[in-house]
Amino acid sequence: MKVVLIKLGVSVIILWFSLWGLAKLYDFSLLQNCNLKTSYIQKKKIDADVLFEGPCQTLWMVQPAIIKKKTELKTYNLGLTHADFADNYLHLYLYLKHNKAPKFLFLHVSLESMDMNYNMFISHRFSPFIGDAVIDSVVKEFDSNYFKWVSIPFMKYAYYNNAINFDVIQGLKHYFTNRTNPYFADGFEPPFSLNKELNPEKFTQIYVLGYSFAWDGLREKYLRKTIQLAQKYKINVYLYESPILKEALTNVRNRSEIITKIKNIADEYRIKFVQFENMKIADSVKYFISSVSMTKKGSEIFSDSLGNYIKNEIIKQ
Amino acid sequence: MSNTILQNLQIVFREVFNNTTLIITPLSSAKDIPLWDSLMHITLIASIESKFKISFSFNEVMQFNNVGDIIQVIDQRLKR
Amino acid sequence: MELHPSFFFVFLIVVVTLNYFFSARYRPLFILLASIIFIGYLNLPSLIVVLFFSLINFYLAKNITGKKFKFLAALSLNISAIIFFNFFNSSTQGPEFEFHTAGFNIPHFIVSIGLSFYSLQNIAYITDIYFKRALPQTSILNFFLYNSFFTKVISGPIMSPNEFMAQINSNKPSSEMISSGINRFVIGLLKKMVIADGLYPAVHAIFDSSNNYNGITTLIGVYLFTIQLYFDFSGYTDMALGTAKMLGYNLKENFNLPFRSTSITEFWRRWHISLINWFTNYIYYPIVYYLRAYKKIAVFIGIAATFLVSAIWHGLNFTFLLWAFCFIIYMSFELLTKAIRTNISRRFPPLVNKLFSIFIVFNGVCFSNIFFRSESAIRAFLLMKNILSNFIPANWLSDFVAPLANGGNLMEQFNFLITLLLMSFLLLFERTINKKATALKIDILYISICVMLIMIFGVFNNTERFIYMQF
Repeated sequence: MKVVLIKLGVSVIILWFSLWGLAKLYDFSLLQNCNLKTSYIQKKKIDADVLFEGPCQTLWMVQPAIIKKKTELKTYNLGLTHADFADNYLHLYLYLKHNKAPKFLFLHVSLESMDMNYNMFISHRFSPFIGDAVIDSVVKEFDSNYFKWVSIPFMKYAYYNNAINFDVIQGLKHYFTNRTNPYFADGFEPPFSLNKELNPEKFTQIYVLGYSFAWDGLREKYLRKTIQLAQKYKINVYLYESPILKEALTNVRNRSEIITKIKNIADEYRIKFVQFENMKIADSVKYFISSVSMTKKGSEIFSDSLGNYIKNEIIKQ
Repeated sequence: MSNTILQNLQIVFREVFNNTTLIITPLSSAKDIPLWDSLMHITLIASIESKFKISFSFNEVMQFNNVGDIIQVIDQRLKR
Repeated sequence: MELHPSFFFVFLIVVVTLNYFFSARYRPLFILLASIIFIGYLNLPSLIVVLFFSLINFYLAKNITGKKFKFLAALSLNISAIIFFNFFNSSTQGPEFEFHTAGFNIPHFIVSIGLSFYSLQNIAYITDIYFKRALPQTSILNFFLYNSFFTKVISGPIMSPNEFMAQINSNKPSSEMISSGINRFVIGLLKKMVIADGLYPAVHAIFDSSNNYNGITTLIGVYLFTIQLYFDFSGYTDMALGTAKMLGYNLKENFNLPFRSTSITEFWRRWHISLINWFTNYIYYPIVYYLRAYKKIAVFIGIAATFLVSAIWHGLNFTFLLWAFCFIIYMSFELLTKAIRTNISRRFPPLVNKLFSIFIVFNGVCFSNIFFRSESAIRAFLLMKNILSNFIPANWLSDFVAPLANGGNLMEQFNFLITLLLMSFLLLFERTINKKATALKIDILYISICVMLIMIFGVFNNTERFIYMQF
């Protein structure tokens, strides 16, 4: 029996150290993966003048190259797929730790961004940085089931291993090939091409008739936190809403209510809330791949408008 | 007595398996005779019962592992 | 309702450790208490149900010998229990498979952990006593333990009374048993968390979506389901047998390399063995014996009855009847054509025969399992229709890779590939791995590799994976 216990003890020790070591390897590899924005913003001195944050709508619709052409300002698109305000908050936090604070931050808000049903905090983006107090508090708040396991070595990666393993391999590849630039260098990712068979009616009626968005306190909390963090670094914050396909909005019952609330928050922090709902392209289905996201052509036109807006804002100052 | 039982059993086996040269011993079992599957088994049991004019109980049939077991039960029955 | 891994591991370590130090006299009582806590923690009503049925069967069996009416009443009670709980069970997946029915509606679900399994044990018990094949148990506590033993209460294996009772007072968890229990448990965890749960997205996509996928996509999904079911249930069995071993009990095996079967008959001696043993002993043999005057016909009736009863036991869904019907056809075909098939096989080398047989059997099982897994007969037939139409996809990436690999982006392709590789490895080297899993000494390398694989590739982040379904 003694032998069994000794062997078990040895196994546990070996496992503890192996898992601890593997976690360190994962920490390192993920940081080398420049396709991961959390890693890229920490390794590369981006030092942008204009920063864009938001979910897919930002990622797919804001072209820094076009904005730079209009404004001569270095622009970086820190948009992410499936990003809750908490994701944006932490990305800003990590960015500011390693980069000069930008002059402007454009943070995307929309009806969806305030409703819990349309948001998801992606914990595993921040797994390598568990241990940092700010990150820990956010992860714990959104994903307590995950957070309670992280004291076990490697568990912070095991829990979401299917979303992380591939990035680790890719990170190692980047390390060994000395790659320092992401596939999409300025952060903008072109949207996927429209599925020709997609019934246009399908996405204009995406909202159920009479749908009401539910304002969620946790979204509001992190919207505020993001604004506060930016203002702490004396960044000019702008809340913006990108164009939405007009037809799609007809079923929504409480759009004005949500917009008013967002405006109130903007006023509270003395920042502007820019809406692009009245752009001409919003009338036309051909510029959209979904009711809230545009085609590459649409994003060009939109980025151009953004560039103009920023130029005017700089002139005013 | 056992010899006669074995000889008679052999006749039944040869009929059921349609093999006139088949030889069985008390240790013979389904492992030794390729055609002895579940279909044949039931035919065998029914044929043995009719040849010896006896009736096996369920518990007895469940305990047949080889020819020797069958001989033993037949022996006990005939002694009654 | 959830089996939280943290609870389970702590519980296991505490129970095994304490059990080791108890004397043989008090161990059964201790394990019974542990089982009561286990079931009660998972679902309190289930605890009441298992104790209730154990009590009734125990007392009814006390003098049931020769009392036909009493026997039939007890039989009906247990059978009704199975049918009643199946009726209220909203899952259509059958008792062994319910680990994966994620997101069941609790209000529609009358939960009773393990009822379908221990009811069969109770039926075996009263039948054996009625027919004087066994004596009634003297200890009610032992009988409680027989039904509620936590390592096997959820989904078996089904033990015959004699097999289990004999071990209660004579067991001693030696260091070899504890070692081999740990070895066994670890591979079970790997099979379930890495392979079975890893295959779930692909199977779910094919079986539960309303898309009409290409033939080959659907076919792969169908193959993967049978493999997933195998790893899921054999993984559970490994964990059950492993934990029982750690406590000094040898439970019955459920699987014996089933995919290496060269006939359907052989398959049913290698798949869910404890269940088939029960059906063979309590349905098949009695029917064939009583109808033996009809000779060969008796065998076919026996086969049909066995599978039909098995279908009803799995659930009150027409799909299970169709599943059973497939096997009735297969087995009848095998029995009727044995001579012809033996003749044909003589013309080919043994290896070719073996591989071909394995291939045919695997396909036959996978085909019938389409019914087993599908929500309804209509969906099953739709799936079959899909297999036969549009076999080759127009676009391999969107029509083949994407559905099977959870969307088909590079990351998911990578994940799916890893799962397939590990699955293949475990299937090809199963014999060797089984030796490791049953070894009497702890192999540090083996344990370390298994745990590392579980940590790196195991599915953790879906808590529904840990819902051991009760019914």
